[in-house]
Amino acid sequence: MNDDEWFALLHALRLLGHATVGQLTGRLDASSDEVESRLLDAEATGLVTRNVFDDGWSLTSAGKARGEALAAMELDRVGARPALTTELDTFGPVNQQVTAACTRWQLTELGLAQPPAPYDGVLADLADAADQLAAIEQRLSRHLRRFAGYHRRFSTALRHSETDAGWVTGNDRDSAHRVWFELHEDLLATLGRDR
Amino acid sequence: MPYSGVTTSGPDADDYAHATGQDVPSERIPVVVQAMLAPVAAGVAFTEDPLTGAAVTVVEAVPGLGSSLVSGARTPHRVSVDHTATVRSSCASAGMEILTPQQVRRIAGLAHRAEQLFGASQDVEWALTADGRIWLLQARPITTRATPGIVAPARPDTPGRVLAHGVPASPGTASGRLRVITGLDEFARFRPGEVLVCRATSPAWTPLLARACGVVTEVGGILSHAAIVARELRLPAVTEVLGATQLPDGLMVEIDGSAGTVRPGVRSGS
Repeated sequence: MNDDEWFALLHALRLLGHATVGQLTGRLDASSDEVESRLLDAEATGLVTRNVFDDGWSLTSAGKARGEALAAMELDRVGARPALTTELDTFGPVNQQVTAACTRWQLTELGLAQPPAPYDGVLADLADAADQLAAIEQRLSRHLRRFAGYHRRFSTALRHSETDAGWVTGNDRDSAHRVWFELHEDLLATLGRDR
Repeated sequence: MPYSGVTTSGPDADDYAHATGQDVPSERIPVVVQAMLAPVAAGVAFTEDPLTGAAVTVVEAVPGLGSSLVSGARTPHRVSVDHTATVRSSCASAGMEILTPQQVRRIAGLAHRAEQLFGASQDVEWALTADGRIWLLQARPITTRATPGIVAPARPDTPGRVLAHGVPASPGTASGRLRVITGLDEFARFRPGEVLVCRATSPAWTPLLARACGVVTEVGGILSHAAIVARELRLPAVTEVLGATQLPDGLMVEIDGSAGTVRPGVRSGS
């Protein structure tokens, strides 16, 4: 594997957190045989490990560190560290808007919200965040093309949310919160930051 | 003082206009230029609790410039002032005071003057300079609709000491063994049904959350990703627990995600 292939594998696992060969095949644009062979290479060098609980894979601490080192090389090669740092600051308030909307809706569903949040208000806040995400993504992908796609996925989740509220925060699908959580992780991983 | 010789320009403004489907602005716009302060502390204040909507003034402070707070990069020290001018620290902030109670009251007083002036609850940004002066940098109506907090159900006094306090982030109670996990390489130590204790969670931690009976984190809050995932899984969660990862690994506990507490629990079978 060359550096680009290593980075693609380690970064995909960082963002997904844990993934099956099938999920990685979709992300890496490689055959399942190729993905499996790369995972075995990475396992042999201690960068990835089979999940304790299922048949998926995840990063080891060494794999996380290696992925961050490769991300740092890429970031400095394109000279985008200052721009990405600024972008993480811009992300903060929008992140708060998204997590607050998700929280209001969850507490409403749990019957704990006083007063309950109207669902159309929650969707309006998320739609506003989607507009801000479009601009953030456009700036990010001018430096690193791999940032393209979050706005499309987030908007798709919002479209489904109009008829099925499970698309706001569901863990079992590419919900609005899950896409957002992944973008947050992408920014942190790219800059080598921890939560 | 507004300065009127500026036009909008630059790729960011153009991108934003394109991305949101607006025309690229061409006319000249006024820009406010303000002197830069070098504050010893700065932060925000809300004339009602932005999470619960309660009638208290909430003051959040960080040392130095306020930009790390506004961007969400740092967890602020948070205190509230009620109508009797009593100042209370949130549990997670106790012992880390940045402001004296008197300074907190002065900031709250300025925020209330802004509220009276504008006729609506205000979200203000403030700064404290070394000469003791408090500056209001910005005031705006509270825009985020109140995110209701989790209200602890009335319960009889539970005997026994509390091991840890934090911000209630996902309701419910559960009993299990505390398992402190400090990084990816420790995932194998976790057993289904345990109470996960960690600094914060990233996507990698979701399989552990899915098998935990509760979760305790050091950082975060009710809006954190860990809290959102925990509520989705109907899992009690307590966040912003100072020193959570120093809790005794393996101890049986009861976690109460509505009250924000972790108490020593009953050993299973006894």
